[in-house]
Amino acid sequence: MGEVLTAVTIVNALLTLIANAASQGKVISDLIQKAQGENRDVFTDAEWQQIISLDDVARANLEAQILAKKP
Amino acid sequence: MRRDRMNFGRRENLDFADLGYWILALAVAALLGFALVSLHGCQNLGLQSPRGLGDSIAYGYSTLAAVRNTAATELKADVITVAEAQDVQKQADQVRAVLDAAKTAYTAGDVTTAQGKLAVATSALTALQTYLQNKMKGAGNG
Repeated sequence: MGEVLTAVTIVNALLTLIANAASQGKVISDLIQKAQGENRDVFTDAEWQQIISLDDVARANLEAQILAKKP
Repeated sequence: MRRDRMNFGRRENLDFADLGYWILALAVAALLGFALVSLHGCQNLGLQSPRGLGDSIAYGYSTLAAVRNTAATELKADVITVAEAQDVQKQADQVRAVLDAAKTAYTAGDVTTAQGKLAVATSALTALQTYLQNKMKGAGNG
């Protein structure tokens, strides 16, 4: 029974990872398409902030998980 | 004995251990599929391909975010320890500093420096991704 729970946890983690990676890549992809639609080949400062904030949010997420798991 | 029970044609009874092994096999298969999709890049994920250096740096930030989120998910699932997660966070911070330097150089028009910094960041990100994928694979092999 423990093996099943471990396996289900790992499958769940994998699905989360795949969804996560795809959604973050899509943010960049959407920004590239938007810039193309506006005939720009560079991001605006606001767009760069949006891109960089992806990592800021992820960093806070990992830090929170570390704190939650610390004994 | 176990091999007999895992054979669909001859199986007489299914217990939780059998189910666990099949789910673990599915997990490892999903992991390998994810790794293959990652290797083949944006187009196979339905994402826009980078048009130039700026877009590649932008994808660097999203990959870095994905690495941190992967570590958070693996820590939550007890695939990695707190110490390992802290180490990933520390290395990710170093990659972030390199990406920031690449972006600064790019916006200042220093393409050569930006390309060099991006290459360093990409190499470090690949190493972090491989480390986390191997951890997941190790957990899947039980």
